[in-house]
Amino acid sequence: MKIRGRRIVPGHAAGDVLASPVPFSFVGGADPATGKILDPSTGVADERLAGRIFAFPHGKGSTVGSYVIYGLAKREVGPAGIVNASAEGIVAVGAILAGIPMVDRIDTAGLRTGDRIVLDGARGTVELPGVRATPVVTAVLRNRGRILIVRRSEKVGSFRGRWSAISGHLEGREDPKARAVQEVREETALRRLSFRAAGAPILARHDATMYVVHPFLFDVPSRRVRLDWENVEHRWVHPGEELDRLQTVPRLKDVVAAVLR
Amino acid sequence: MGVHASFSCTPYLIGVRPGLGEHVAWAESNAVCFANSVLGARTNREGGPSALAAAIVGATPEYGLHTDEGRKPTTVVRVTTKPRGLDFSLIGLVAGERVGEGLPYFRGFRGTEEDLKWLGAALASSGSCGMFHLDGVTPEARRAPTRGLPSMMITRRDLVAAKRSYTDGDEADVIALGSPQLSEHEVREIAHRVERTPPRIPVWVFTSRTVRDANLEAVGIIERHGGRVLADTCLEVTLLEHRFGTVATPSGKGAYYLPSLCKQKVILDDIDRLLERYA
Repeated sequence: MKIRGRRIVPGHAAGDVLASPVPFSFVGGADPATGKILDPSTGVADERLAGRIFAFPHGKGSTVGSYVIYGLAKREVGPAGIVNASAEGIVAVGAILAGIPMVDRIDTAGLRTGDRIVLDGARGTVELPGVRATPVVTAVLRNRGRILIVRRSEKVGSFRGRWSAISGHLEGREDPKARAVQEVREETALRRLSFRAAGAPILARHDATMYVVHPFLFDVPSRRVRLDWENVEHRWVHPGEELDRLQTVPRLKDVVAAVLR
Repeated sequence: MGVHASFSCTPYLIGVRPGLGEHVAWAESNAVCFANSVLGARTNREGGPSALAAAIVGATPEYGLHTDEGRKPTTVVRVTTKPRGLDFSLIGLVAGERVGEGLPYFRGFRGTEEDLKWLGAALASSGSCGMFHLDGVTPEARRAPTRGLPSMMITRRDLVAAKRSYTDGDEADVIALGSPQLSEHEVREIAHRVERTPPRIPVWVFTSRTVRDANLEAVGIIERHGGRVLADTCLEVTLLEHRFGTVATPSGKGAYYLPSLCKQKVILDDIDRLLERYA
């Protein structure tokens, strides 16, 4: 699959992903002499940056980071490419100086360490040859501060028994918002939706499948829900902690947060 | 534009103080956070090279913290305990971890410029914050829109937990003060305390050469009691590992970087308690 982001530093790079789920500081986070990751909160401590495409949400910490990135490249122990959710000035300047191809506006939570990846800095894209994209829509329905979640039945194709918002597959070139409205009608029989927000796609990874989730928020005038065969149970919950206690589909909390903020 | 060789990470303590609304291009995360938050000047978190490039061309890209939009808070952080001393570093560490690249609006406490220096330095280490607002204290807080923002709370319990999580040493070889460099008032205060309760381990103080040269009496007191007053550098960028294994410090930023940059174990605690413990 191919993901479109934003160009930061032009150039091509291909290799294996090294992914940190948390923001990263090059100062203290990586050994400048060897390119070994030091920060244990990344979950990839002791891995080496050399030849890898380094994916992390965004830079943090010391402004000396730009020099560290440059130093890593000079010693030929730096990453072959960088992918961020949002490029911070310190990381961007370091990558520009070092000539490391870089792309941002990619939801890095969808990438896994070891994924094969091809980065095109000039086009602002990354390609994951071993991963198949499955576009889906998710409709977060809100009524007086609570949102609707449903438990998926044993008859659906994936994530049986897990809690989810209303969702469905996106076919061909169909309009995501129209598909979301359609899914709400079928799965809840709720009418008179008021569209409130659409969020940037969230990448929810499941093995070799990448669910590209288009999130939408609708206000609904009633909590009276009639489920179809796809779901077996529903609840109106407060967004936030309540979701943490339930077995949900991947990244449901992030999908909800993407439209509620 | 000219160069002034102050060799300091705290230019704002030695007379370099851009005014409210003035655009500058600073590197050094603590100074960026202080300039934006406390002085109301405007700078992004520049990496060293981009700050130097701005000095050469006399311009800096207009985005982020240079714009009104970029200075709006993203999260309200209510602090439910009255902070003193070390607590400002701890608030910064906790808030930085939680808000990441956001811009926190703090409520519920007050602090001096020095207190906010420690808070901002820690905030910019554990997070990528280049600015914060503090209700009733910082110059742009009054006009910052907070309605409808997500909010979080920092309690005494969070501060105690943070102090514990950044402490992994048992016995310190040295007490290191700095990161950011100490102000004139802080250097004198340390000299006073060292004289009152002489420590049995060395106290290393990091400050600017401006402050050191103007306070030779205080420097003399600290050095007579086995300490050092070092300028042009700071604790996590010296080779502490050549001499020490465990550092005690009240600096949140220091505690954040010392384990990885200097291979030190850390005891993060209040300066009064450290001087008492190692008297």
